[in-house]
Amino acid sequence: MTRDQIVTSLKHLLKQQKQVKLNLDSITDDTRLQGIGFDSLSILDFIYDVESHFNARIEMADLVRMERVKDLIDYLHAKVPR
Amino acid sequence: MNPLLAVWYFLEYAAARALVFVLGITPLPLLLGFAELLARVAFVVLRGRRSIAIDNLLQGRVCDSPEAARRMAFQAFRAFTLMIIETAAARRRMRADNWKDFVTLHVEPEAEKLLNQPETGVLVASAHIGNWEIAAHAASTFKPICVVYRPFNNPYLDRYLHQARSGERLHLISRLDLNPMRFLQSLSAGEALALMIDQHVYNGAVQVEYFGRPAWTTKSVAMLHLTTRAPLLIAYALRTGPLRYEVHAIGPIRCTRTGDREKDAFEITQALTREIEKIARRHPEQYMWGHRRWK
Repeated sequence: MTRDQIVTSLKHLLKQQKQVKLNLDSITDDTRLQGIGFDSLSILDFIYDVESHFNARIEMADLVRMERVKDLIDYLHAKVPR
Repeated sequence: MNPLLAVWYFLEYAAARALVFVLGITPLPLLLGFAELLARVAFVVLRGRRSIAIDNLLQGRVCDSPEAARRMAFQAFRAFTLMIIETAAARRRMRADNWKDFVTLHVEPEAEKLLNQPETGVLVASAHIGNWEIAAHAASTFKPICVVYRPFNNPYLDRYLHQARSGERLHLISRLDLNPMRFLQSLSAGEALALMIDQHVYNGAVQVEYFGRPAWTTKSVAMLHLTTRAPLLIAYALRTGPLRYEVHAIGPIRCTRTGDREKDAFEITQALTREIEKIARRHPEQYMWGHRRWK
């Protein structure tokens, strides 16, 4: 899966998060994950959906180290078969 | 803040602080008498809570007559006042070197193994039964524990009680904390993360069956388990006598991830709620029935 495909899929998944009020256009690679508008529960919903969609497991230790959207994209890019 | 409200908050705080000090130095038999008196007064004065408790006991088929429900509701009120007073009293009496004189542990072998692994973050679901403050302190003897709590509106009182309820290996996280990663960080650090799952919640909830009735219940524990794969335990402390407790830990609770988020969250929350119901049915006199659980 290409990086662009991952970005498109992540945007689609973000749109589905009903609990999160966000402006997708304002999100860039450099946006901090904590600044997207998640609360402690909606971020879990999102992670679950990401894992299911990409059929990839995000390790907890890796997750807490991720700071920006770019980190998540890079992580998935490395994990998801091309 | 409105100056009058600030004064009121300060008076509340000062009264709470004085009360906790007095409770700490008062002999235990006197404290128990005070708790009994307080329960009787509360049972008469707090008519709304009393009605809720009696109704919950009847609708949940825990008691089969209004008279039995009333008696049980009073016992539950007494258990609650004892919980508050003994928790305050325990602050000066129970220490790291003597807590085993007060607490007997009943921890299932697999749960004990998990609690003794320093690097493993463990999710702990609990309920308002027995003495949940003691349960948290007992769990902190295994590994550092992080307890999610609802802050008080009174900022002075909240700061004081936050400090008073915390311990060397026990810290509290406000439910209103804005950092969405706070629970994940705690689990990732190998801590136990404890959440109460038996209160009515509006947001982020699933509807499960509890005492035969649909009840909105937080899905946070389920979602944390599904995303972090942290083992999931249930823990609670029963009061067995004056300042004497049995702390139970059961689990881990196992479940299968299907790919359907809401279904998985429901299944886990229902499984946990079923266990909590079993415990509350075994010890209804120690359960907090005066809460509007079913709305």
